[in-house]
Amino acid sequence: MKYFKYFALIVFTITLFFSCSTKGLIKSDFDIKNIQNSEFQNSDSTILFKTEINIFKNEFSGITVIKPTENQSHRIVFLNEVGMKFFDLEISNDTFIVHQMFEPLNKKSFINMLVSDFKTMLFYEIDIDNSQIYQSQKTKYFVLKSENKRTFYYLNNDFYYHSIIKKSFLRTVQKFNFIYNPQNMFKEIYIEHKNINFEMNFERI
Amino acid sequence: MKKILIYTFLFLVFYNAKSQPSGFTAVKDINSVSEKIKKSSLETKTLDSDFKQYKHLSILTKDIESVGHFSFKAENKVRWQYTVPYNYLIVMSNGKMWIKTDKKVQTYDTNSNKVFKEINDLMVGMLQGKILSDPNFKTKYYENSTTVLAILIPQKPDLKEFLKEIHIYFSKTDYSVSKLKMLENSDDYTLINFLNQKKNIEISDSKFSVK
Repeated sequence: MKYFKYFALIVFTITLFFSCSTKGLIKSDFDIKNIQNSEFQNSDSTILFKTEINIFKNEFSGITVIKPTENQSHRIVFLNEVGMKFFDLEISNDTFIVHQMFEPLNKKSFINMLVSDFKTMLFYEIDIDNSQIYQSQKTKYFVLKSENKRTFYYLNNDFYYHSIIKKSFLRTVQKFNFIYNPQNMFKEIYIEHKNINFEMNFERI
Repeated sequence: MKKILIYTFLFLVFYNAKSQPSGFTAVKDINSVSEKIKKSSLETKTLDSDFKQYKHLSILTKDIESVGHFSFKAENKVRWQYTVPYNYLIVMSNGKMWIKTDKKVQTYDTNSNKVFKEINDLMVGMLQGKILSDPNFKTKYYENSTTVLAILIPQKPDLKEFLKEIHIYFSKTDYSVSKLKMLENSDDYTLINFLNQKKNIEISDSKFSVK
């Protein structure tokens, strides 16, 4: 029984080791200059999205306005179809301002999640210079694996970001999917939290 | 002393200009106007209209425009159907509220949901003009040759939080609502223009439920 315990521990450790490694991926000498910046990174135009937010079985729908502002920040306003604002946030690399928050949503934990999600979605967190590039053996997808954070940026065949996956020690905790139109502009963005009941869907208007 | 008088005069001129909406003067006989609005409201059994909505955000150079169709049936049946920029339907009837999108239909009990009940009461009250006698609002009346403008200032803290003023425009031809403007504390606003209005036409009850 004692030996079985040791055996189980070794198997667990090996499984853990391999699950945390970049399994199925090989280091690539792909030039990072080929990576296409997202619309959020290189455009100064405002984008409107038809939006659905589901948080702990509460559903909110409406329109999200994402507008780049001066000082390299973004203004994000989510309002319902009738025009009532749910929230109005301003996000930059190292800070954020809550201009308005609908009272039932005005919880510190929700605001922090929202800010973190938008920072990832708007590519504030990406640090290409401190990332390593891998190529999948099975597919042509490339993965940018951040050294410090367990965040994986997947590129499609045109070298645009098609998903972002955030992992905890053992499993995926968050997934961002980006769907593009033929002009390589955002058509749809989907954010899913795996550990809590929180998802956001953005369809370009 | 002379300077004080000049400054006082200028202050009064600008204060009055600011407190009175442009193109309107204060209504002198408020009782007569509110009676006409009340009479029109009581006579309105159904209302059918197209609408164009403008959402003004100070951060945008161009308003967000929505287009749709609106139907009302006394006492409390309301149907808002947005067709542009996308399909979205809100129906409120007898304590129930339905929201229909391309993907799904959601049903809410407005009697058990405080937020939806307030939205429901606010919308029905604005469209019927009943909101003018609501003690939760302080009302001021203005007019010009064609229109009566009622400016409502919310008094309840939960409404004050997201609404600064409601402007209801009544057409002097039949005292029905022609335009609604909801101003937020940030001075962003939602403006709804009612177009092609038809009063007291036959509207089936089936229009006020969603399956």
